Amino acid sequence: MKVLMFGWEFPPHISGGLGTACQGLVKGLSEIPGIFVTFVVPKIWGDETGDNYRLIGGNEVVLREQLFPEIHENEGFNQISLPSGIIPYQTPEQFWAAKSRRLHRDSRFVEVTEEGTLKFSGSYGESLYGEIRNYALIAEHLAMEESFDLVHAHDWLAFPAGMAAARKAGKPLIVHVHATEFDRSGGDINPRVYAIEREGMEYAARIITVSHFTRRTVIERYGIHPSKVITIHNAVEQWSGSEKENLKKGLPGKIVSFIGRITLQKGPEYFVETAHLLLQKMNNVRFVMAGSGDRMPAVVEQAARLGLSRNFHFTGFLNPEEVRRLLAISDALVMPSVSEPFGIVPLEAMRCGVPVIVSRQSGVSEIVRYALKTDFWDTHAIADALWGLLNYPVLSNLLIRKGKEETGSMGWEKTAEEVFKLYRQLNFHYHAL
Amino acid sequence: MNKICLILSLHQSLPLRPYRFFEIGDHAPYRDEDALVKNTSSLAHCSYLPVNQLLLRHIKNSKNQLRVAIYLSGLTAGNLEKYAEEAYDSFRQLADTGCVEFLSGTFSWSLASLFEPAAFLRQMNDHRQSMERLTGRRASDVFINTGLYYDNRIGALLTGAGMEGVITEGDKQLLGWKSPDALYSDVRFPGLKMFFTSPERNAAFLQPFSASKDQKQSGKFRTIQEEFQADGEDSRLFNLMLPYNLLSQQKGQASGNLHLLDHFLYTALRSPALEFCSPSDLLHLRTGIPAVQTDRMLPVEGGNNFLIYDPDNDLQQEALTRLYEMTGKMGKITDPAIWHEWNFLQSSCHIEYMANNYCNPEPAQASDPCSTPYGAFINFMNVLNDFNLKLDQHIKY
Repeated sequence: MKVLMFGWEFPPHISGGLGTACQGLVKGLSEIPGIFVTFVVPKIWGDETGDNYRLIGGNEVVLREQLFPEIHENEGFNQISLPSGIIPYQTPEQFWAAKSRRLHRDSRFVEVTEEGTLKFSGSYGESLYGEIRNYALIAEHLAMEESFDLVHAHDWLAFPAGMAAARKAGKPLIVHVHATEFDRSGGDINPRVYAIEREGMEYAARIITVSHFTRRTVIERYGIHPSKVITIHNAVEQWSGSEKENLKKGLPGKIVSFIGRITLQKGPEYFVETAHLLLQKMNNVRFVMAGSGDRMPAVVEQAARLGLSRNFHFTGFLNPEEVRRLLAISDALVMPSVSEPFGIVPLEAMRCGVPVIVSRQSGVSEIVRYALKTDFWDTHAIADALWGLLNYPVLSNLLIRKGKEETGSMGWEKTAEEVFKLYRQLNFHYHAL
Repeated sequence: MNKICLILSLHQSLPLRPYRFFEIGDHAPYRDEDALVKNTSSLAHCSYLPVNQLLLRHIKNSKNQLRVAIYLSGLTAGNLEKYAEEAYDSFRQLADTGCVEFLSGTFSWSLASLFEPAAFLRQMNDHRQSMERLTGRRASDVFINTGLYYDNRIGALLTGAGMEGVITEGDKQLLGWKSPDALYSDVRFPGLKMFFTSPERNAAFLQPFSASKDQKQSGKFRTIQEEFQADGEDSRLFNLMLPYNLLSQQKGQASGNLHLLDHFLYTALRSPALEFCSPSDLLHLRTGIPAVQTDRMLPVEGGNNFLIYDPDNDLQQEALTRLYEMTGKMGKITDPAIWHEWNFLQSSCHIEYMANNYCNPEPAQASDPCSTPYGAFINFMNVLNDFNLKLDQHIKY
């Protein structure tokens, strides 16, 4: 079975958990015999690795104009490819020359580089909507060039691409919801993003959500029929590390970390508030906030206003290796997310032997048992849980020991197996029609 | 003729208030008195009073044929006296009939017997006093330990305290081919009679009204009743233990259980093959009492019995160790208010919340710290820290 998968980012060039989750899933799937995944991202940097799967960058796909149906002779049958209607041009002259011809009404003009490719930044910049549109063009193009059995698209940025490919090739689409606009915006949603998400979900044959929490959002807020929505929990990459022992802390005292984008969704303010509460009773604790995001200035100001600067540190964005090092010296991790569809960081922390406190408003709290769970708004409860972890060693030792065991059994193979089951099911239905 | 000991137990769990680390050193109250008042009076009206009235009615109608044993924890008795006088009086009325034996036990339904003999003896003594106050007569010599725990060490303590009987759970490993439906004595302490109750039978008795619509289960109740009334060659002794909290008048499963008990008492009291007796009635039986040797702790985990305390549970182990470390300090304290708090902290319900398989899926409030074992542990430890500071201050002055 061949799967054409669309994502937006892929490690090591990531800004959050989405890329990591995609990589884990693809790796897991590629270990299942009889399945081959082609993973597409808008931009490829050249240092990504892919062992058993193919990685295509949208910026590498050469668009060519195809005006008439082409007939390829295969063994025993002829394959006819229909014109895509994509008309690439490099210069204004080429554009006007093409424009003066008689064209099909589906024709679209696309400005390409000298190599005939499209430019992608691969980030989340100002021209995001343009890039999403171009990505869909690439998908449409690939749908004609590649052969595959189904399309799998991750999150709204890749939904239009997934839809374009599925529509063109007449194959079923699975959309994978790692987060919704409601999680990212905290309720003040962007209608344009919502529309794209909803269209993708409605078009899709099946929707995979990463938690029951997200499944409810998809059903309730996007009006999707429950029978179409399946929860398949994310996993954590297995890693046999002993770095915890090798690394020495440069700082005295306990270290409590927050790892994630500093955005409304992740609840960084609650972390600062917790630090403020705890530091009134303990002073040998240091709080580290790793990540960057639009709320950073406000959070830095908040920490300064509360007079926490001596014990509160901002590291900015950390790459996976640095995250691992931070986890190795951490005594606790707090994830006070306001609305977290899954949240992979706590699993990584538990795997590294760091006890965690997660908000009840997160998908990960559905599947972990050996973690402390609180409501994100209840900073007194978070502070109290943290106090317990730092002052009652029996508790933290228990959570460290059991947490490692628990995450040890949460490999991507299991998630991939479930996804594969869904593929087979869908493929069966599709061919039966 | 078969004999049946009906044992009812009552210890109302008294959750701690959410006690944040901020409050350590403030000596704020440990329990939510308002919630306690509300809880006590509502439980008294929907459970304690109806059950006691039912018992009184059957005692009267059967002309004192019904005999019952009740364990009422000292903490609960104190709360009832303070906040639900009517219920307290109903226990006194039961005692006045002479048909109800109030069993000895720990004052707080505590686990002191497993950790600190001194604290255990004190708990036992306090409980006897509170029962004597309630009933106006000498306390019973039959002991029921928290969670029915029993081993040689506890046996020695009980014998030392002059107890003549103990209620615990017998399992296959201990009894082998022997039937649990008989009175036994301990090899090491021949003066101590052992009453075994069967957790399976206790659970099955209340099963017909459980949520599971299992046809087999509802048949079980009838089987048990038939078993009770079967006229075999040897007479058997059944120790049926029911907690008050599973018998209530509220809507739902528990209300069915109250009717069930009513029906059971009605038929059993009219059956010629069955006789009710209280544990003390049996203490003076001298003949045919086989002895068993207990080398390990009873009861043993497994099957469908849920143990309050698990020695492998680090959280419970730590909490209890820290709690009973303070026994020495308590010896220097005379303030009755502090003694009251000490007894309250010993209540095993705090420890029960830390059990591995405990997870309250729907906490009453989101801020309820006892909804997970970890939250319960942190909260309890915060309280203990505060209590420890309080003791230090009192000892200094």
